[in-house]
Amino acid sequence: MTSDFKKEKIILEKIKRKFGREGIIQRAHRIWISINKEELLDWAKWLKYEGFIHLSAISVSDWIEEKKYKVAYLLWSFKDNILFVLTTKIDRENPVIDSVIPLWGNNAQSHERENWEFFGINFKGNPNLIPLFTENWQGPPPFRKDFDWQEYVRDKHYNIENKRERGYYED
Amino acid sequence: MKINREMSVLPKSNEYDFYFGPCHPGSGNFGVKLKVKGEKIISVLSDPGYLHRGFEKLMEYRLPLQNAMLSDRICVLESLAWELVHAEAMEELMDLEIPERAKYIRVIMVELSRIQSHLIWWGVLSAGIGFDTGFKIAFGYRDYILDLFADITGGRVYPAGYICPGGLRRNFPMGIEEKIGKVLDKIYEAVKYIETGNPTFLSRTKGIGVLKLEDAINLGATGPVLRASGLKTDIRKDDPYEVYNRFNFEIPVREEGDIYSRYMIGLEEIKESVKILKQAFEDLPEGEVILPKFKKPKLNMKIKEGEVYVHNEIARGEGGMHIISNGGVRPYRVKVRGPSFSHMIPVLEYLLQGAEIADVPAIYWSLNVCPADLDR
Repeated sequence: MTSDFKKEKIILEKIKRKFGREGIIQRAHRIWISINKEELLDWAKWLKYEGFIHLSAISVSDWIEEKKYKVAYLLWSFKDNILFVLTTKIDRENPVIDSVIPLWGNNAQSHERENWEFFGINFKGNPNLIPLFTENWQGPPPFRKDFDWQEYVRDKHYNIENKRERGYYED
Repeated sequence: MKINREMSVLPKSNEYDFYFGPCHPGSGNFGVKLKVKGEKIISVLSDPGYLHRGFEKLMEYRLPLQNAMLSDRICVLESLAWELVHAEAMEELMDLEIPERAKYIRVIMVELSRIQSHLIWWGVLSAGIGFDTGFKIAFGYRDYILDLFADITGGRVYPAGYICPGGLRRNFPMGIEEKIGKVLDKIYEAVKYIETGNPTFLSRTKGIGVLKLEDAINLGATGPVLRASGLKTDIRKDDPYEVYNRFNFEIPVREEGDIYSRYMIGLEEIKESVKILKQAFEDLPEGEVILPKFKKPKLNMKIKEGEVYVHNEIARGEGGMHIISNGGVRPYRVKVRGPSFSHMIPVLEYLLQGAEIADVPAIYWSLNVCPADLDR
């Protein structure tokens, strides 16, 4: 498939004028850009105004060596058929970021709830951060890289004395 | 016999809590906590988590070929579609161009998967409004497609990594084209049943559970639910993958946004899928279906550093995967975006607010939900 990235280039041109930043066209229909977390709401407002009205997901990854979380907002424009990935890095020890509920409403609310539960990120302005999947969870946020689920299950639920469960202790 | 007086006293208020689900054929592994006043619902809280298997975390511990097998477990009802999402994401990361024949077979498999998934949709929606015959017809006809899957992939429901990074596990068996042709005739038969004009069915579905376009977009609806509310969008056309840009097919759209229009979208999509299948069979090229490197893959195959987001139009809406690799043999992070996540939390909570108890299963199933891809 060949494409001249016409629509993508128009968006990047607008971004350059508005924010003075260079984005990356990964391939047709994909734009990636990384920003500082303080700018998040400005960018989000502008992007929604530009037609990125569908929030596909909020995807968080844990970069433990850098001591950062990378938060990626996956936004889709029905008008231009472009997926815009807005990424920002936040501190891993004290993960706080502004909520995007004012822009993407209840949809953003549930995505933020999920990431609060799995990574412990505090979304400032989200009124209802309550567990979504886990029940009575006592351990650390389970999707962090330093959480070893195998070890956790061994400690909490298995017994090395039990003949049938001994296999879980052999690596 | 002594009668317990206290038990027989009616509560003073007519407000009570009502739990829909979580372990019932009428809801799947999913619960909705309702507060009801009389017959009317006054507050709703979705309660997922009964099917959470932690696939995203699990995939960080596994090799891409093992993940191909995990990915089809994301949703029981359309395992092939999820395999395709995973395989495409991995191929984009590794810069692979798979053989032409594999692309066509992938489209054929995914469209067959869409038809069987839409048959389930119609079946459970019928069951939800008390039309049990519809349920039985749908599951009966769906079985013909499952038999095809067993012939082609070896598994009826779980194809165990049939669509894997690099192509397909095996080529079409001999004489499968004929068999698929016969099954498509059966699907026409099923479509005639589905095109029901039954007045009871209509009265239970028309004008109920209305989702306006503006709300649908704000609440993150995708796929058939969004199209039933009036937006013409389909990732197969808007962000084409595999060989979808070579086929002629329509995107069915309706304006009303009620249960009936969602059900009609499902029906139209079955017909469009049959159209795609016929074209795919006409153009099906000969040749290999897997890249030589992946025939006997090495276990220490490195994934190129980078990140991709791939999304496909699966039967329920937008199914996507955001995969990050740091150059190791395993993915560093996998994020799965299931369409039911938006449909079962914000959309469902919005639609059930103010609805009647009897309409709960009808509204719930009309959203074409799958608790498995919500919980992951």
